[in-house]
Amino acid sequence: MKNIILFLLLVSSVYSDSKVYVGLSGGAYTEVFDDVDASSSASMASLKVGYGDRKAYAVEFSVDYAQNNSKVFSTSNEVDKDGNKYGFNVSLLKAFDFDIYALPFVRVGFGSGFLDIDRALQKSLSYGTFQFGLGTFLPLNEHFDVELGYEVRHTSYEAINTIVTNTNYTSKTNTAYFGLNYRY
Amino acid sequence: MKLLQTLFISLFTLFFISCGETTTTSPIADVTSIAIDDTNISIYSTQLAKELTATATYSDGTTANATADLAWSSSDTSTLLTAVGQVLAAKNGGEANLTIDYANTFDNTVAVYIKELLDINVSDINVSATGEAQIVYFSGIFKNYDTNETGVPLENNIVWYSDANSTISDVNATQLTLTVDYNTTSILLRPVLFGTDDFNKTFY
Repeated sequence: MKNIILFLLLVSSVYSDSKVYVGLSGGAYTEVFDDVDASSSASMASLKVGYGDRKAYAVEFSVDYAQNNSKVFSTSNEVDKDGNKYGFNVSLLKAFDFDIYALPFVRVGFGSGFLDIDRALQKSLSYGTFQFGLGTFLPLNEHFDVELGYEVRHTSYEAINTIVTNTNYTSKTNTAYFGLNYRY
Repeated sequence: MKLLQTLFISLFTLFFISCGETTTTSPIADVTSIAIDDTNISIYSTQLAKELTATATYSDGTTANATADLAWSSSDTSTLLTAVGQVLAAKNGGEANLTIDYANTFDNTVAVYIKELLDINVSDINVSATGEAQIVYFSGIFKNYDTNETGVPLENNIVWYSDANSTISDVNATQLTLTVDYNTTSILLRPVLFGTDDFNKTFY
């Protein structure tokens, strides 16, 4: 019941001047692990669908893809890095109209995904995320806008199984990205 | 607009400062093998369960006791019974394989030899000593491949009975107390192993 009420409030709050939009973005990220001396830097791409007003609130659903350059989890000699990383995120965005050309925004959200790895007992690791982002929309016209953003993401990975222990690893990811949105 | 510029300069500066090296060798050790620590295991068919341990070995050279985390199984449950970290003789003597397994990915097998009970040596009983408690000593003769082992205590899987003219009490692995209750010319001792009484002894 709470979820229904929250959903209705959300929908009604973003209804005025709201539009459906799609966006494509690409960026670079660096991920630093909390419990182990490891880090990862790579590029990422994201495809999103949102609904909202670019001067106020919006709800976004996005899928992420990243191609790892690091070998944090994989131990097989047959691979030289961890595999691809796929994620799905839900975010709530609040934009501000200060009567300047740009429309700054803040975004909070959560997500989940999986990372291909190659360990003796695991070939994939699922993970959950919580993220916070800052950025701005730079409107090109009524339909198109450029998006510049920066996001900090906390990731909690599925436990690594070593038979005797199951250890969870967490990380902080900083992502800078550039994107293009189309609203209709 | 200045605020916006400052914001983005700060954000991207922070991003590039936070960029670190990319890890190219996993710092998280992985399992490379598991093994039963004992490689030459033999047990008597009347022995209490034998405790065993298993070890997991990791890519960084470390090891850990994985006994409780593995599946333990026997290739022949009529010869060898298993539980986690334990083996116990079943009815038949001979050899069976003991296997540990984890998720069908890691396993290790060792042979376990069950020394079969061939006979029991029992000290003499005074049949005419009616009403007296007598200590009766016993030990097993076991088959150990091509030789016989004698003087082995009988710890487990064996139950002692006597005929209606006597009573047995205080049984342990090497002795029991027998009392002749009625005047009689003979006493039958029935050590029952795995439900069979192949080792009956009659005293006169």
